[in-house]
Amino acid sequence: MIELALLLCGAAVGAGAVYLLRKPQPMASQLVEDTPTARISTGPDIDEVFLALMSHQFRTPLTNIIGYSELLQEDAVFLEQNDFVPDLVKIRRSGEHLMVLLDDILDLARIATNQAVAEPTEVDVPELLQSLQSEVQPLLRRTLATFEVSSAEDMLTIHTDGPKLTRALSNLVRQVVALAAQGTLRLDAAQQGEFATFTLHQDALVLNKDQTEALMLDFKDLTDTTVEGSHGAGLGLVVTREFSRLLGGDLTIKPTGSGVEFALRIHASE
Amino acid sequence: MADTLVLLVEDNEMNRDMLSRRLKRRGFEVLIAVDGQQGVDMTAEHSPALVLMDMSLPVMDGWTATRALKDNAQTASIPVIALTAHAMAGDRERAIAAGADDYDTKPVDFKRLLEKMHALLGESGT
Repeated sequence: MIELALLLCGAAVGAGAVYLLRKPQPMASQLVEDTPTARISTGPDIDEVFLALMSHQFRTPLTNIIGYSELLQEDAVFLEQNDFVPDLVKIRRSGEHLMVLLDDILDLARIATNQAVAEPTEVDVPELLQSLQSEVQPLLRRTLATFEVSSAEDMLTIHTDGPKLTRALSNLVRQVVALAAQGTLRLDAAQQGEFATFTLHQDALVLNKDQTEALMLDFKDLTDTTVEGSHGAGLGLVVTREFSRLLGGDLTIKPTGSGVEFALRIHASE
Repeated sequence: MADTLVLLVEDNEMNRDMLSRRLKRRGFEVLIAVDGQQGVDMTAEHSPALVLMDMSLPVMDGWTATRALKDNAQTASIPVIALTAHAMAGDRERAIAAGADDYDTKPVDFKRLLEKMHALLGESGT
């Protein structure tokens, strides 16, 4: 039955998760009154089990759409039917964009419903940066951008929630690449006292004051400036910012002499 | 054991189909198991060069199956790549804690997965 309910609610609840960010209670009551899925949302919050189920129910078919489009793309090349490739690439990238949006929506729903809780442990910084590089590698492969990471020599471990920090940083890289799919991205990690700062510098990105404010205040996706054909940017920097706050810090943006600098600061000691 | 023999442990039919077809195209011989217990049994029986282990599996989940493989002297040296759900925070850490040699996230980026497979198989390039 739960699968049926999930199937029925589909995109409505996905969109509702975003709406929950601003007006959680009205959204819950609206679900009760207006949709056939009311019974799964009658509690005060959407719980973690429900979000996990939502994630799985959406991700399985999306994974298949992405996978089979890649498979067909390989077939087309193998059979020298290259005319099909551009359309297959569009299907795959649309699926990937939808996946990013889904992840963002679910993360924001967790935050909005107080399901996102920081679970700090000792995190190996070089290992985390290596994992991040691996995670964003497929995204960067389709761009002209290069990505470098470095950390201070004495910064071996920090005390934080590693998965959430990785998620915040990967979301940040994805967003910045969507804004400028060229140039050099350099991520530097440093620690000062109880706080760690992960500074991402992009040397090919220029943001005016309005764009910067929109990026930070209104969570707008600046796809107007996106290089055509680049990967979708999801819901922008809101996930990164919310996770950085969850980890005891914040996200700031400032223009530099050669590009833009995004500084993700978190509390990093016990 | 043949260096190209890979065991894919995956309960989702379409995921199995996609991944196994792409692996075969790259020259791998692919065995299929549909749950964790079957994955453990087939690893012991066939000694594949590498195991690709989904984590959300029926009968026996991927973490338990990976731990069982690593606790068995006969299969402990066979590399396991855990395929984890991207959105589930902590899945990859649990996979490594269970003894997986590496992990990748779903949807699988095939090029990245091949690189990890070749690295564990002691080969270079894709």
